[in-house]
Amino acid sequence: MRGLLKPYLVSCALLLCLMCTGDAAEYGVSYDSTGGLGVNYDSATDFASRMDANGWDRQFLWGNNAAFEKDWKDVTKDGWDDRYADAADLAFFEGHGSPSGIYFPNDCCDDNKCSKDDARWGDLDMEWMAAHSCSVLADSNLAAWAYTVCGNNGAHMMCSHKNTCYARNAGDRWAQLMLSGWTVKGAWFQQHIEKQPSGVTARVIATQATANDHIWGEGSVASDPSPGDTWWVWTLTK
Amino acid sequence: MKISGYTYLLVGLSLVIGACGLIPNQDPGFCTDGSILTMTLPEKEGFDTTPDFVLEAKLPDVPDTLGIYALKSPDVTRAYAVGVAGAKGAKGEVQDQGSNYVILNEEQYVSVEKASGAETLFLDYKNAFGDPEKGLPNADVMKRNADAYSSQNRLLPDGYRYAGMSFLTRQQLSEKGPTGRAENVMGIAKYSRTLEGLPVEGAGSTVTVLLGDGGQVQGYTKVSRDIGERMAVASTTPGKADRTYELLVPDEAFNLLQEKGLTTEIANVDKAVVTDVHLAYYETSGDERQDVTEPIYVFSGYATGPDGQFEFQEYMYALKTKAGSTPFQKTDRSKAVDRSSVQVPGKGMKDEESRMVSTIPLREVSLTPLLSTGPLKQVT
Repeated sequence: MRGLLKPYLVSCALLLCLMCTGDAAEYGVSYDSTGGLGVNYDSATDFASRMDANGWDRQFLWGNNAAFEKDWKDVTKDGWDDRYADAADLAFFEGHGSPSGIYFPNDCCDDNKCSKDDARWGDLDMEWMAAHSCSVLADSNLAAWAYTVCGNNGAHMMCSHKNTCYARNAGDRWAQLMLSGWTVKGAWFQQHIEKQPSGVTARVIATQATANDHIWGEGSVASDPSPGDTWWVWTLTK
Repeated sequence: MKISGYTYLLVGLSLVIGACGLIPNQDPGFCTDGSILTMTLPEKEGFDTTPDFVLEAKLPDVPDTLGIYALKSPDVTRAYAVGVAGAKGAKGEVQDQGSNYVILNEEQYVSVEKASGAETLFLDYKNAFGDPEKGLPNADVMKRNADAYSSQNRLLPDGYRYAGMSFLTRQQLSEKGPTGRAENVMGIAKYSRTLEGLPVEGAGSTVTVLLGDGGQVQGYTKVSRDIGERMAVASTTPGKADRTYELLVPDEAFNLLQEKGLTTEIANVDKAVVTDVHLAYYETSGDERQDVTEPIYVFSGYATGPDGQFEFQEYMYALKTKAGSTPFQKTDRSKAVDRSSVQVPGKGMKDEESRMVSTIPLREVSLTPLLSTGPLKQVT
């Protein structure tokens, strides 16, 4: 009996460690790598590999015919974001976009666009969302993404572009920088400078407090914004 | 105090039972009719990005010949990366992060890409791109600071010239959109070069120096592959000379653009108006290996659709052998996935005050292998 005690206690200690890491933060990724956007597959999967390797839990990683708009649509609007996009702390979309939404390569289950009217992020878990897509944060619907989609629900920040951008392996570098201690915003702008040609404009919307967020485990994270907090836009043209 | 073996056993068992209680419950109630588990996935894939093109630009004159040049990148080893960091006064832990080496300490961050030797340095990287306390001086002062830093640190190989300053701005949002004045919070001094009188364009063509609080340099990003020998010649009338490749004439290039459509991540556009067409050379981002630079066509303009009007630029290889393809275009390598065979994840929940993430240090991970620029096929 006595001989079994040590291994048993070691097992218990390991289990305790597992319990701690079991509370890891989650990430989720959807991507469209069809129609010449093949590098989006690299971007999405390399992002996931880096997050996996650093102890994050994968909530979802769906691409092309398996990536559904409903995964990003609010549960109160007949979407599934309570199990996918809004069940992750950090959500990343790689694919086509426009000021009114992000586009999915098939229209399974609903339609192929998650619009600003469909999305309500942060009322469950999401803090940070990035859409590596064209023009999602153009001037026309900026306030809706900031207040209606993010700010009034608890999301901290959204990153995307003001104008046309190019499919690049952004996810790999963005994840790498965030996991090295860069802020979410700083990492987004740095990968933009490295990956996009001159003239492409990246944007980040956040409150003054959440603008300096690091991802969990890498530095400070502000409290969830409240309805009524003022949002700001940071714009960087390479 | 002596604790009996049975006490250890009881404590251990209670820990196991407690842990089981904490494991999140996978709610099976989602698997009902109408869920993804009972739906047939459609076959349709892809997204239409082929608007109607209108040409409102004068087509460029094409020189008789344009060179095709070798590009040289350093052999990046751990020692090389440490040397790059050391030359800028940066010391710290050296990490092999797969595609690059990173040297970092509490304040400085240096990365050196293995594929190209591209360098990024950032001071106070944990607050990178943060708002300044003192504000920024005027653009002339910032340019002088950037020029001095570039010179002192030998950032600019021969041929690079100042190409302008862009800014990171901050602006308040009202419920209706941006309001008030956009305030500059960081300056980005850009330097670029030409080759045979044509601009070198693409993500890797610009050396950038970043200037923050008080106009002080906060970092830089530099790709800058060395341009080597003229390996071959491109011409619209190649004849039968050795190492000569056929160049698309502008009309042919525009026709190919209409066939292939936009390769950007733009969606939902019906019409694309091309307002500028020019020839250039292309240099890709530092995470990719590039051994050759060759002429490309650059089409600029605006596209319109139900969501408004968007500016675009399309890059296209100008050599016929590449059939109008885009420099960074890759074929899709993803595999079809049937979601019905995957368990639906649990519902999300609000975070506690502080999330725990295991403190595994950054380590090498298996990443997508990067493709080098393919060798040219000779015209026969």
